[in-house]
Amino acid sequence: MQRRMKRRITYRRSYRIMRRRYRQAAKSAARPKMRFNTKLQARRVLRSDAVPVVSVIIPAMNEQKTIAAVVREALRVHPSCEVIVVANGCRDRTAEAAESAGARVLRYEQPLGHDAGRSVGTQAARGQVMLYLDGDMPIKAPQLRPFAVAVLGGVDVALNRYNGPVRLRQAHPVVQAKHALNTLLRRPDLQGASLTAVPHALSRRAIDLLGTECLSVPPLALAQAVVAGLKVEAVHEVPVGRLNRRRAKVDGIDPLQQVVLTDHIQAVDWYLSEPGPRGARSDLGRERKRVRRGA
Amino acid sequence: MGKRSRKSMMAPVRRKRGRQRSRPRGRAIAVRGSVALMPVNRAEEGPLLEAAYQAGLLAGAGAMTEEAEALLHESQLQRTFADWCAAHVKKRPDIQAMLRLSRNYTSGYAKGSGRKDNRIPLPLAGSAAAVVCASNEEDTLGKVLQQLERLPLREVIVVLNGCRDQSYLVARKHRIASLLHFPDRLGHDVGRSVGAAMTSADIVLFTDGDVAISAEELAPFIYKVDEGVDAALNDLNPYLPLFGQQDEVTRCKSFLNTVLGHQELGANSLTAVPHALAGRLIADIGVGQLMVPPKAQALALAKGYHFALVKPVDVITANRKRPGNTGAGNAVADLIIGDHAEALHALLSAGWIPPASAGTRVEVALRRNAR
Repeated sequence: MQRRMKRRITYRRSYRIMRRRYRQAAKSAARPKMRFNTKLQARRVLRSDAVPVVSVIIPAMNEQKTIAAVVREALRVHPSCEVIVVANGCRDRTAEAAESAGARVLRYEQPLGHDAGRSVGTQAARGQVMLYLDGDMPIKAPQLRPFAVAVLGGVDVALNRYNGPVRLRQAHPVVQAKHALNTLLRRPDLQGASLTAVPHALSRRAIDLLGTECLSVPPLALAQAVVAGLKVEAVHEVPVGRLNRRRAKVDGIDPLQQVVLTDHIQAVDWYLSEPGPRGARSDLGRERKRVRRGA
Repeated sequence: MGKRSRKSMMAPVRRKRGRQRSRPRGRAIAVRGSVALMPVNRAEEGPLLEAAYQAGLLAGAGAMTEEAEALLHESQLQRTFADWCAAHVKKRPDIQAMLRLSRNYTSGYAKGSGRKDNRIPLPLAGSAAAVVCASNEEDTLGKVLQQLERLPLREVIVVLNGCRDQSYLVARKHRIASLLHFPDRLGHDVGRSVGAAMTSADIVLFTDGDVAISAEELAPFIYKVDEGVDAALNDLNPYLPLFGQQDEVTRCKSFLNTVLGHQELGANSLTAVPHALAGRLIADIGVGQLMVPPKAQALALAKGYHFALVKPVDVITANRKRPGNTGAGNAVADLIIGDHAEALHALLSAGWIPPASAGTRVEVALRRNAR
């Protein structure tokens, strides 16, 4: 008992150190480091003609502070690895920072919309494994590798096992939506894992089957993947909730919340159009015709 | 004290805090069969309570025969109490204060008439009825009806379906009960639709034949709907574990409310009994929807009907354990999840759009990531 408790505490402490390092990485990314950058660029040139195994796709909009650190970690995920940054609607030096860190950058003047960069980036990706990250969240390569490894090992959709804050009686709407969708899809084992959360990885097979369009609405892509019989698994936990940047809110609510909720409703709508309104669940012998009279 | 022992103390302290949070705050938990009355404003209320007793005493002296008094809603007790309230109680008191007045009036009335009386007259603006679904509940059905008889209900519709026991004979002993008998099972909650179709009351209280809930605990539901809300739900939120430990069904319930923009309802749902609905709500959505409770709830909330929560009645621990309704992935859980799917489908096919949409993906991206 004592020992187990101690282990947990040690984990917490080491986590704090990890987090401090993340912060430092995010800070140092703001200052250009020439020596480091040239080295990475050289490596990129070496590989540019070979077909990579892993394609890392990073949509970014005005993330110049963090993007270099994200790209640098992404490049360390696999020896044969391409990093595609979809810089859309940027008014800052995101594209330049990403490029000098060693990424292939797709530039778009106008913002594509939340998660829409994933579709565009995937179209340009050549790898067998598609790993998706956010431009604002530097995650260390060892935390990313399990996703790529899982897909190389036969998983089609490798999700982040992070459930969000669940030690509350009433969870956040988005957390509720993720759990409810997985329940409706008959995958309660996935708990709150979702394609909405990064990091996650998809196989080439999954992309071929689902297409790139639906990736802009991640819950819809998840529903389609489950229905298509792809191997969907929550493989590794990265507690991204704590790494999320604090954002401006409207009336105390993050405007993204409604988008994510709408995405989930869209996914439920799509799912129920196929097996019927009840999602092919039992009615336990309801004698529905008995009530026609008054209704 | 060594380093390790100090650390090991941390965990228990944290756990204790968690447990405290899981207990309902600021509410007395109702104990089955007893009245949990809160001592609020006793000093101010005292004279009124005394007056209620005296008025009851006076009215009781002129009580009619026992036969004429049998049904509370048309009894002299109910009528005189309603009149007395209209004359002496200025502001509509909350249900607990009303119950205290009612109890004092009734005990005065009992004294005056020389008969035992523990009924609960309530001044109601509209008529009230109850729908009780029962299949093979002979052990509890009698107690359920006994409690319902104590309330000023115009009728109690007992929907007996698939009964192989003495439920029919038990129910027939109660004058207030109108019986609907179906030899075969109707299926889950279909009895609610069937029963509700038989009444045109302004307030319909729904309960099951398998849990005997005291009249004091049922009265708040009727009283709440009489106040003007369209639905009064049993507030089970205080009994829920943390989200991480909740079952799939509970999470579905919360999600449905959240989607409809009613997070304040938590995981409360028409799936749980007891609850009371306004007659106008039932007429609007159609009685046929009541057999799929989440669907009825979704349609009603989407139409803007007002739902309110009332003091909890713990039906979770009192619910009869059946082979079908325990454990994860049981048949009933599957049914209820299916009900929620049906509710969402009904919403979406009715052209419902999520409330307060924040705009398109691009607009949100611009707002969040603009420099």
